[in-house]
Order: sequence, then structure tokens, then C-alpha cells
Amino acid sequence: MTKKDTSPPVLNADDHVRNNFDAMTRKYLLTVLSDEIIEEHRQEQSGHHSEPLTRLLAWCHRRPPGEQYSLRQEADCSYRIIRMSGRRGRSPTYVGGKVFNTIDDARHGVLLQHIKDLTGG
Amino acid sequence: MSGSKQNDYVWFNPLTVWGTATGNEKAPSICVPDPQHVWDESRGYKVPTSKVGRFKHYIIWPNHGGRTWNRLRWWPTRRNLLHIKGQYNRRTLAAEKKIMDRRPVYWALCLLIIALGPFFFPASMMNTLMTAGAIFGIFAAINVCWTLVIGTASIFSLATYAVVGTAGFITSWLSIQYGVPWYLLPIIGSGVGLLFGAAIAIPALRLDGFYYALLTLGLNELCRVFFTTSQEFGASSGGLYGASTFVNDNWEPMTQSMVAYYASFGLLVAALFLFRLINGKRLGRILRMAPEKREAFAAACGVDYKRARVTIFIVTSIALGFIGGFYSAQYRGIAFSIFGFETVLLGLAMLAIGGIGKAEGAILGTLIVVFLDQVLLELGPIRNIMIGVLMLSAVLFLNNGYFGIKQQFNAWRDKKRGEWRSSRSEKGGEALPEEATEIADKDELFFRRFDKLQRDYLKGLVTPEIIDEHKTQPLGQHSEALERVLLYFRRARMEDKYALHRAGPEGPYKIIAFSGQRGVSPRLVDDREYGTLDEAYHGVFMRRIHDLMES
Repeated sequence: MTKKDTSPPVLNADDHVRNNFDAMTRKYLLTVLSDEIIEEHRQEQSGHHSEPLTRLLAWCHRRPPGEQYSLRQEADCSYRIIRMSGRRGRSPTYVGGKVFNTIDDARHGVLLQHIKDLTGG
Repeated sequence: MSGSKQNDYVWFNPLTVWGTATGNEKAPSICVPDPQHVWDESRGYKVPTSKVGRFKHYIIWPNHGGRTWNRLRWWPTRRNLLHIKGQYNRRTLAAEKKIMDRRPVYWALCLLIIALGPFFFPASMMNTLMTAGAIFGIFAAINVCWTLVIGTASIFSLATYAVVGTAGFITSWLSIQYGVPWYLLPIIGSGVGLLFGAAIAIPALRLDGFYYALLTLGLNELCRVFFTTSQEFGASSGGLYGASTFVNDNWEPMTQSMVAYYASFGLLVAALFLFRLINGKRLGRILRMAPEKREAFAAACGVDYKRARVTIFIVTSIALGFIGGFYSAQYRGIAFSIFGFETVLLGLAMLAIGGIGKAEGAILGTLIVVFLDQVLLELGPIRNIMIGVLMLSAVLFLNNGYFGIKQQFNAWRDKKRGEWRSSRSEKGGEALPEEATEIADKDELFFRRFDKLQRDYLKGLVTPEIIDEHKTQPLGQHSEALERVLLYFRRARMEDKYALHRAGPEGPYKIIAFSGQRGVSPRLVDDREYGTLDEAYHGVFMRRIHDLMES
């Protein structure tokens, strides 16, 4: 092993900017987050959405791979939320024990998970 | 967000958290509907449409692939028995056959029904129906010939029954006086028809329509007066009786009726063949080129329509003379009523009900009138009123008799279809299908459609809220509705695009419009001056909004 491999990861300027931008975006999203947009997403997961929901979803989409959620279809055709490890070769892990019967419910479940991350609740 | 909360919607500027939102941290705005709705609405039919699409008009039956091109033909010609199209189903790729013209099938079925009729007549009405059937056969044959004269040759002759009557009387008289056998009567009748036809064909060359009808009506009357007043033709007994006949007196009454019925049926079939040979062949085609009031054009094209008309008239007169001879051979004589005005009117009613110019029309009309006149005897004089009502309604509501209903309905449906089509195609800047075929660049067509639908959509977004929002802050981040409108304005083509002209270093500003052409200077839109840049921006915005709403 070389010295470079063992050294702690150093944040470069891009990461600083990104983190700053993300913090600002989160701050903004917290101001527009409401029960209405959650309900709107529950009713229709894809297609045309209102501006605040579109901005929220856009934020969800561009989170780094380690913070993304995904869905796994079980043998009984139900769905569970998994989280990608963000590392090559490391398998995803289940997030929570909730089982969804339909893919629409599961997609909404993913959004709720993102909102949980956003609000820190 | 639901539509009811549209007015409550407040837009929060994302730049607020950065501290760079200048004057518009939040703004009342509207929820933006899905642009797809405009497209769906525009492309959807505004009239009720049937789920099944076009109804199937043809009988299609499955067929073995190897026999797709097999046809039954009239020996020894190559003419097909039926106009059939062999094809492969586009979806299933199965071989199938489609009858393009079903009329021969209907003719065969109807003639079969008439031929088998006597076996199914109720016993109580047997006599009446057999007599009516025989009369129907003869009258239908006369009317088929008449429809050739009136319909195909367009000669409005009312002397048809006069030809039949004269031939009938002369042949009966010859048979009674000189013992001419029955089989010669139709032939002699044909000769009489030829002479009669030739005599009345000459004025047909000079007289038209109404005057010729008057002439032939006069001729009919002349014949009636001549025959009813001459002793030789039975002035005292109401007609001639006692000619030679093919119906043997010694046969059983039912056999006699049967022979008369089938003889008339045979006559009808012969008349139909004559109709087919004249109307469906060269003469008929020539005359279809020269319909009424368009004779001059046909003549200029080299169509000798007069010759064709006279030929048809003479051939038909021969046939009518034949029918006259046949009539006396079947009924042993003839009565004066054949010359009666009511007979002519009844015959006209038969033609008008069925439709002039069609063999099937002549036969249907005859069937209806003979049925009313001969079978429903118990009804009394009301029968004539019923015939009158039928004729009147045919004349009032139908273009060409009851057999023209389908054609009339199709024409009406096409008209309605055109109306529906025009009701659902609105222009609005979009290319109409007619002009679309002439535009080579199909991108242009789609751009026009896209632009039209975009404008339709954006018109719904223009509200006082976004105008206020723009007024407050013309530049920078805006709510989605205003952003969409501004994006549309920004990508307008350079021609007539608005810009600002600064008169001095600090203003004022005037709105100008680019010419869109290199080297051509912009034009001043109006004389209004704006003190600040933001006001001028908003002025341009309002002008564009105005143009959008006007388009």
C-alpha cells in the first residue's frame, strides 16, 4: 500500500462548492416542503408535477450514489427499499422493514425516505 | 396542487436562501397545468366517434390461398360471374375474398323468390296471388322497357302502353279474323311495335321533355278513341276476346294459372336481359355520357346521342310490341283499359316509386302497385290513395325512388362527414391538411403545430399574477408560469422581434422591432417613451403578451 491510498480523503474545491450548493438547496426545499406536494406525489409518481415538487424530485435525483435509494422486487412480487452502497462490489442493504405491494407505493416510499433525509427526522 | 388552490399558490424564489433574490423573494403565481393536456385536447375528436371504426360494408369470407385468383366465369367469355377481389388480410395475412358488387346476388335471390313463389302462396289466396303474379310479370316487363326509354334514353314518352295496346289489339284481331296461331302473335306484335316506334321516334328528334310527353299522351288518347270506336276492335264488347292462346282450356285451372305465371315470369326475365344488354353495354354508356342538359357537351365530344336515343327507342318499341302480342296470346285478347289514362298514371307511379332508370326500381314499383291494386282488393278505393301517398312521398323526399335511398343516404352521410370534419379542424396558424401536402418541408408543418399548441397552452398561463410579478422584477428568477411565457417570447424569430432603443445615456427608452433582414434597420413600434430600463422591459413584455393573446 502506498501513502496515497492510506491518506484520508481530502475534499477538493468542487466538493466544497457542491456541499455548499446542496446545503442551500436543502434550505430552500425545506421552505417549500408541504403536505400538499407529498400528497401530489402520492397520487401521481411520474408525469407533470408542480414546480416545488419538481425541484424536490430534481434534488432527489442528483444526490450522490451512496445516498440514493432503489427498489428491489421480492419473490412474492412485493417491493422493498434498498440503499446502494456507493462502493463497487459492496451489495445494497435494505432500508427499513416496510414492504410495498405496488411499485407506485414503493416509489412514494422512496420519496418519503428522501424527505426524511432532508428534514433529518 | 389542485386547481381550486390555483390562486393561493405562492412561489418562493430559490435565490432567497442565497440572499440574491432582489425584490421578489416570493410572489403570488399560478399553478402550471400539464402541457400535454393541450395536445390531447387538440388532437382528440370533438364529435362522438364510434369505437369500431369504419363499418364493414363487404362480405368477406376466408379462402384457400391457392384459390385466391380462381373465378367462376360466364362461358365462353372471360367475364366474371361476380366482381370478386382476392386479397390477403393485412393483419392476419389470411387469404380472403371480397364481393365488390353484390347486386347479382340480390337479383338471383329475388328472382328465385319470385320463381318459387307459387309453392309458398297460402291456399286461401292462391287464385288472387297467381293472377296478380301473372299481371305483375307482364307489367314489370313493360315498366323495365319503359324505364329504358325514360331513364336510359331520357325520352319522356307516355305512349308505352299505347304501343303495347296497339300491338295487342292488332294481333288479337289477326288471330280472331285469320286464325293466326299464338306463337306468331308476339312476333307480329314486334313488327307493329317497330312501325309504331319508328313513327313516334321522329318527333322525338325535334321535341323535348314536356312537349314530347304531351304529344305521346295525345297519341295514347288517339289510340284509345280509335280502338274504342271501331267496330272491328270490339267497340261494343269493351275489347277483343278469342285469340289463340298457349294456355289450354282443357287443363286444370291451377295448371292454367301456373303456366300463365311462369310465362309472365319468363317474359320479365327476357325484359331484364334486354335492359342489361342495352343499359349495361355500349348504348347505355353512350347515353350516360349525355344526360339531360349536358347533351351539347356530349355532342361536342363526338357522342352521337340522338342516334343512340332513337335506337333505344325503336328497340324498346319492338320489345313492347312483343309484350303486346304476348299479352293477347296469354289472355286471349285485350281490353280498352290498356289505353286508359289511369293505366298510364299507374305505370308512372310504379316507375316513380321504384326510381327511374333502374330495372330493380321498375320491378319494385310494379310489385308494390300490383300488390296494392290486385291483392288488397278488400280495401276498396283507399288503395289508390295509398299508391298516391307512396308516390308523393317518393317524389317529395327521395331523389330517385326507393332504390335511390342508399345513394341518397350515402350522399347525405358524406355531406355530414364533411361538416364534422370541418368542425374539428380549426386553423389557428396550423397548416390545414390540404395545404400541408404542398409544403415540402415537413419540419415546417410540425413547427407550426407545435407553435400553435404552445400558444394555446401559454394563453392559459397569462394571468394578472404573472404580469404583476414581471412588473415587480422583469429580470432574474421567476415563477414557473412566467418563466414558460418568457422562454416562449425569447425564442421568437428575429423578424418583428421587439428590442429597446436607448435615446440618451440614461434613457429614455423606446420599443423598436427588428426587420429580420440583414442591412434593414429596425422600425419604431410606437412613440411611447419609458423612463427606466425595467419599465421598458415590462413594456416589451406587455406588447408580446398582447401579440400572444391576439394570435
